[in-house]
Amino acid sequence: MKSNQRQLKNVCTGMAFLLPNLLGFLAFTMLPLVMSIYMAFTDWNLEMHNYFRAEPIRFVGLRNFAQLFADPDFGRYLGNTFFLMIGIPFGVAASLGSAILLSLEFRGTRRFWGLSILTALMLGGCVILTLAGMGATAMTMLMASLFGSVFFIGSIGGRTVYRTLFYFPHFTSGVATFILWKKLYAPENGPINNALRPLFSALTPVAESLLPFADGIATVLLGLMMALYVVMVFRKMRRWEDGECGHVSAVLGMVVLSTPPVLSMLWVDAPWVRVAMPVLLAVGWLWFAWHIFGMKRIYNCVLDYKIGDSTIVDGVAMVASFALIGLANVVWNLPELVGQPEGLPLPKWIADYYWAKPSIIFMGFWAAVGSNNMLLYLAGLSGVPQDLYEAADIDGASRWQRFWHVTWPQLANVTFFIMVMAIIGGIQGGFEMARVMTNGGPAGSTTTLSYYIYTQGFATGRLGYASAVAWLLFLLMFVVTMFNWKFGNRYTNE
Amino acid sequence: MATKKKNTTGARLTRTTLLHIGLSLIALLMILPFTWMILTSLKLLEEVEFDSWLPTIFQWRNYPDVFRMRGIEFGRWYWNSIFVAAWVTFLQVFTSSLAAFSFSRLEWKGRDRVFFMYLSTMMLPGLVMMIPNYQNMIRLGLVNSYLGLIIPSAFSAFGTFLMRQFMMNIPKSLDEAAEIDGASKWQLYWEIILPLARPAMITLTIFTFIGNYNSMFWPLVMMKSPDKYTLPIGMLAFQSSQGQQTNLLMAAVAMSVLPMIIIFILMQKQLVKGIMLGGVKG
Amino acid sequence: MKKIFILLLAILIAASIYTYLTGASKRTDVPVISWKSDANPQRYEQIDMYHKFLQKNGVVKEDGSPRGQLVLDTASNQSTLIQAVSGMAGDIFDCFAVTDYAAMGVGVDVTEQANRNGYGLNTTYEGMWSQLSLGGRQYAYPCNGAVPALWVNVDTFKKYGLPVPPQEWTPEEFEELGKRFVKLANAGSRRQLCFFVPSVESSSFAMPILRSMGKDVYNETMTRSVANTPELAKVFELLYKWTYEDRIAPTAADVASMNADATGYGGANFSNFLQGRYAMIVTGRYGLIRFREFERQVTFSLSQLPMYDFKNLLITVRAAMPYGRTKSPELVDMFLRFLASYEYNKYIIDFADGLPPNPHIVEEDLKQLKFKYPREGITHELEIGWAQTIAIPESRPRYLKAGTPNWLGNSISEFFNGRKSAQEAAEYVEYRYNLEIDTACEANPATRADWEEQMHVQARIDEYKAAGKKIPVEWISNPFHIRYYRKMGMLVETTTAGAR
Repeated sequence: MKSNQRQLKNVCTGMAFLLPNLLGFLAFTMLPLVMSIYMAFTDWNLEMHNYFRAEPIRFVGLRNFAQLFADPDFGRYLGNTFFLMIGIPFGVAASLGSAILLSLEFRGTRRFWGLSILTALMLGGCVILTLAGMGATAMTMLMASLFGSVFFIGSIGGRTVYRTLFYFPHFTSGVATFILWKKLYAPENGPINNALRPLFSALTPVAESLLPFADGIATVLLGLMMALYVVMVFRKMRRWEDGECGHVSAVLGMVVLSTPPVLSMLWVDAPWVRVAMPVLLAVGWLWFAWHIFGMKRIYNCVLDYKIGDSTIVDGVAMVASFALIGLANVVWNLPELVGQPEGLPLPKWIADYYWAKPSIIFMGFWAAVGSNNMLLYLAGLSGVPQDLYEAADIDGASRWQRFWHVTWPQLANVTFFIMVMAIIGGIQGGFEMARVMTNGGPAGSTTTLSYYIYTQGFATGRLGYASAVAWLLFLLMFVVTMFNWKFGNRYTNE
Repeated sequence: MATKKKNTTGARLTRTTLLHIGLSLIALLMILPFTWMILTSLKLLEEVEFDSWLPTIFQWRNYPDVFRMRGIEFGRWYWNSIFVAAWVTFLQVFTSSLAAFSFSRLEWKGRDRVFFMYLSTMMLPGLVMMIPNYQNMIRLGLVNSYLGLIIPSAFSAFGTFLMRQFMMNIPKSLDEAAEIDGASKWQLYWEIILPLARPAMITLTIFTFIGNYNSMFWPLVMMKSPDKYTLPIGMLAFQSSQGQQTNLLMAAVAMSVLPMIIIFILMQKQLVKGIMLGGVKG
Repeated sequence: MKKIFILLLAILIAASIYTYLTGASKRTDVPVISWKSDANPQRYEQIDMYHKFLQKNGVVKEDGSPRGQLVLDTASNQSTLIQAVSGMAGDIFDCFAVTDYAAMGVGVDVTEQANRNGYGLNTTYEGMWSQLSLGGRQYAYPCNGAVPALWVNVDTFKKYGLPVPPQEWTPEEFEELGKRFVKLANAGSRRQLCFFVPSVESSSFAMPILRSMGKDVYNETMTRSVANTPELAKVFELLYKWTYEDRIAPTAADVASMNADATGYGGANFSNFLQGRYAMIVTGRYGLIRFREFERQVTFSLSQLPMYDFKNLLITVRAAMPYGRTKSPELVDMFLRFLASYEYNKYIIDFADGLPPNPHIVEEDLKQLKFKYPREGITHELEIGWAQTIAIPESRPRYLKAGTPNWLGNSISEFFNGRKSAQEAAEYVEYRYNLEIDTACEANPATRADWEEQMHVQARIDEYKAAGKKIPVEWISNPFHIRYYRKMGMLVETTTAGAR
């Protein structure tokens, strides 16, 4: 009896402290959550259900979802969302790289200070003098002095200064920096294209000399892509035989690896691709089927062993394949590009259908290099036990081996966390950039799911439909996250 | 290999210098856009076209000119942004610390279950909640009011989570000592735990303030009258009506980034600590 | 801790009080009319004028100040629609999509009082009727309007020794002169800075050309889109040719790279036009507000958009629509009377703020303008004349949801970006609009019933057309077809047609 009373009292005290937050939480998180589920299955539309008209809200079952899949552009918007996520691994790799650079040993002891300052001054002077010989413009002076001053401050302040400077873009990222980038990307007179212009005009003769071989080069590039596919499939099957990779990993890896050949049939105009790619895919999958169904493994392993390998290694191969396809396409279009009167045309960045997404990815990369991820990696790196490195040194490990066998596994937990967060962010991302920089254009090339939800829900007033899309987005996120938890966790623990 | 570690000072110096050069180059890339922004904001409009980044004469008057533009209430938007963000931050830190105290220092039945519920909503995309929240704001008549911006953001699962993580690390013995002294739970919270949790509070303050200062979606759908705009949507309006006036636009961008840079430079140590603590920016 | 807490709270409360006191939209006891427009000195004068009109007509508070307030809303915001249906608009709001709002129940039926108080539909342009009324009921009255046409900077043409564009011209003539212009104007510069017209990547440029060939995006009853025609594809190809081959209009990349002083009304396009970077610009006469402010005096002439046989132009209307939740209907009525009054229309005429809503009462003043502003010549008479004769509003089916994307414009950019061929783009317009109509009908049974009824009418129209019979005018709801068939002698006029 007494303990019960005590318990009740405890609950009351606990609740009293929690109450202000809990009320808000219930009102602005839980209630909307429940409402949102309900709304997704109704025809809730501000046109019919507003201050002035209160027609009954009809329950429409799955019609919103059916409509969504019937929208001819939905697939494209989903594709845009995923396309923009291609930048994530690069961003994470860059923050890991900068974290490693920052964690290297460069103590700014007093002895080094003087020397560093001297170097800075000499270097700055050298740069200016060299450039002066070639015709010193204000611009080169500016760049040299900027570099000089960063170097100077860096050698005095050491790590903190660099960390601060790296972190700026991420910290300030928002509407203001998007507007800034929009101006940087101005096709005719933005600073980026101004800087690229001399480079492109220098490249024009090179491109022209390549013209006769354009077809050949493009074919070779696509050939490389196909070779990569074969090698990766072969590797996958070898690992499967050796018990280094489970069934799930094998299937997943095959799917990931097969995406570029499949899509290349859509993206590449050359007729032979439509023959070669199916053959390639057939060979790959037959090879796969023959292994899985026809062979007996020497070493067995659990079903979902080495999933991470599929997602990371094969994912990298996939991105590389896409790059090859893109490059081949560029080479194919070379005659058209060089044919322009002003030589190789500069990219039109966000004003161009095909460049708009890469432009946004570049911008995201700039903001991602020194983000929270870098700080997390820094913390992770300082937590790696020194004796592991010493042991590696005794074994005579090279720098690369040290990284691959000591640092990387030690950071696996951090990487996992970062990737989960980045993917969650990526799936719901893109709204602000699209709203500020492109309005979802040109021709819908930067319309992501979140931007679509905004236009449907808040510009058109179809709240029910928009809720349905939002829940679909959540479902997508949930699946990816669950996948990460289930298999990623295992990978990190290996 | 072990000999590698015992390098001569000279070799070490070369290495350090090379490292510095590499890091400086990356840092340069990071700040180049900002440099361009500042320099362009000081140009004449005609000079924006030029390849050179440097203005011939520094047009400092571009900055006051932004405030004087008709239809662009830049000063007001500045004020609104800071005002809203300050209220949100204040309320959020307060409610989060209360809840975190309850989750970390008090024992009550069902505590962990409630906390798990909090945690699980952190994964939900904000968009899911936005739509019904907007509907609710209409019902409450809070559309186009500051209250409508402040109240929904004043309660945060993330803030609670961050504060709780920190408070968990404060030694339990303090509670017992306080209890022996006859302190009530409120006194324990107010006089012992809260002062000790100051680092976490500062971190949360920075996160929340910056997050709100930068937030665009919610103000965009909520605010109708231009005099109630916050800076992000104000900048959007500026861009859509006067976007080709690049020098003034850049001056406005520079000014809207400025508070963030100041806060960052002043608070960076706490911020870095906080990120390690909570894992993410809110 | 305690001290900091209390100090912070005090500061915040003080800040709140300050914010409340300095906010422009403080709660007032007078109705507020929020007017969505560009920041423009003349708007502020019109606001003063309205306040004076109120005082003159005795709509005042005890202290003699006007019992009504006009507030300017200058920012563009996509969320206007949802804010309006959320009860967040002023007592009167200024909008382009009256029919959408009326269908949502946001508006007030003012038909009777309009006829009584002299602001009925018959006082204004016939071309605007379909945009002010829904189902024969009037919901709004125009603040002003525009017939966007090509304003020509005559000085620029003289400078290069080119002939001034004629009032009417075909696309071929337009293209020929345009090519000569950009060649002369851009001689010797690294990148092309001067263009014949601003971007033509817009539906408002495409529409008159399409209609001049006797086609529209929708059928006669506006129940179905019939955009998939070779004519529309031809229009798309023309626009593309002008932009990318002849370079007489700027591409999106060109526009993204322009720097211009945009402080004044109308933004950067107007600046570029006055500085001679654009030889012509598509606008209504409201452009003169900015043009007259410009330091250098420019001589103007007016040309129609280039088009084929059936001459037509678009007419747009900015309407003042009483808001359903207004607390002071008599003041709202007062405002609409103000809009139809001689004072207001005289002001609109004199200060060139678009088309006067009630043109008949200012006919004499209109004729005086060419003497008062010799550089503008007969542009005023031309535009107002066109508004009364050849101007047709954009056809907009009542089955479309408010906020439906501009699929015509989107398709143009799909085509311009190489995503679709011209014919595919035209097909896409039709497909998209039909999908929108289907969605709307599916969502609302009442809409569906109405739509089905109209489909029967359409079937009969098609029958008559096939048989070569004349079609009764009341069957047709598409404003384009009424005009076009009338011109082609394919209509049977009946006495009840007036309501349309």
